[in-house]
Amino acid sequence: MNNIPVIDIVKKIQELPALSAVVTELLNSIDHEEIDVDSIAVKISHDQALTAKTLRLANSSFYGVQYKINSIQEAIAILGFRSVRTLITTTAVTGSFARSNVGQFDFQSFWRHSIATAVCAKQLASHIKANQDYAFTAGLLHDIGKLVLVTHYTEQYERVMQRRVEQDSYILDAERAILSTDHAAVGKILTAYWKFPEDMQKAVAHHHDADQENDGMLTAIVHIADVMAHALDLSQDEEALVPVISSYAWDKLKLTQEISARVFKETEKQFEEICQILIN
Amino acid sequence: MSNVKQLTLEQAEAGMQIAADLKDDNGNILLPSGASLTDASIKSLMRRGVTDICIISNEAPALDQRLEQERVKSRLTKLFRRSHAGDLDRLLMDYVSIYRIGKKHE
Repeated sequence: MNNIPVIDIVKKIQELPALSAVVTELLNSIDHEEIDVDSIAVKISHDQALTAKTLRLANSSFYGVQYKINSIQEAIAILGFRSVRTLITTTAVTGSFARSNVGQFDFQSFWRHSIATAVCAKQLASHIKANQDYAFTAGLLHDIGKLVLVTHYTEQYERVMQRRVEQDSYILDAERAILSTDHAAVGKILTAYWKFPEDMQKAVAHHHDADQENDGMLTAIVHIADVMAHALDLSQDEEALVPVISSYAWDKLKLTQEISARVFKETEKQFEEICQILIN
Repeated sequence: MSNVKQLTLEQAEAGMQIAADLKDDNGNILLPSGASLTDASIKSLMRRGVTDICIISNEAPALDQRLEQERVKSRLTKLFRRSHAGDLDRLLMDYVSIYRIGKKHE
């Protein structure tokens, strides 16, 4: 047994590249509608790498804009502030981890599942008229704790992946057995460190046990989106396992066969395109 | 559910229904769409050099469709191998199955 103490994880997380102040400001602004869009646009423009990638995304076919977007200000005017905010936080967060495979951990498959969950969460949010960009971001980041673990505890995580295959178990259970912690708990620490909104921290922390009364709608959305993304088999992970569904979350989203079919269809329609943009 | 299936004339049997007008090289209709084959008409078509025929198949779905159904079924069984005991997972499995192949998971 090789327990990882929480204090150690916190220390490792502090070694991660910090999100820039403007990204933190953007994340915090998700809760508030009265923000100064112009001043944020100017601040983003100062970060050249972030601006470049955000504009590449904005000009991609996903948004289907007919002419070229040349600045963050233009992107906000054309795509809307909410979409640009999602683009920027997505770019910033996915950019803060290495991409090469570590042992049996497949980054491609990790991001495919994360993107599938994000797209599905957005569809579920649209169905219950919740904030879609918020759901997309939470879905994208729900497993982010895995990246901390595989990046900083590479050897131990290799044993986790090994055990998962040998025992044909959920990754979560293999993590608990080998590390005495799991990616949901680590994700909670990371999103708290990054000062994500409280709801988002909770959704990341409880996406595997969404039965708690005090959790909000976002946790229910991310839990069901995670389950559906696995059920639609979008990650290209041969060993994937669909999690056990929380009845509390399921009931909260008032899912019927008709609604589920619509969510599946829209998710698959958008999925490959977003993968192209974010992971290639 | 009806499908159009292409067969060689040797595979054709009396009672099968023609899916489209069957014409000779000059464009004359030999058998109209919807006509049922008889032993006599099959022999007559053979004499005229017809080799392939499109028929309407009412019973089993086309082979590739059946293969796809099998693939979806076995993949869903694998994906849900740890959670299928739960009522809701069972329900979701059916929803995905209906979405993919038009029927519940067996």
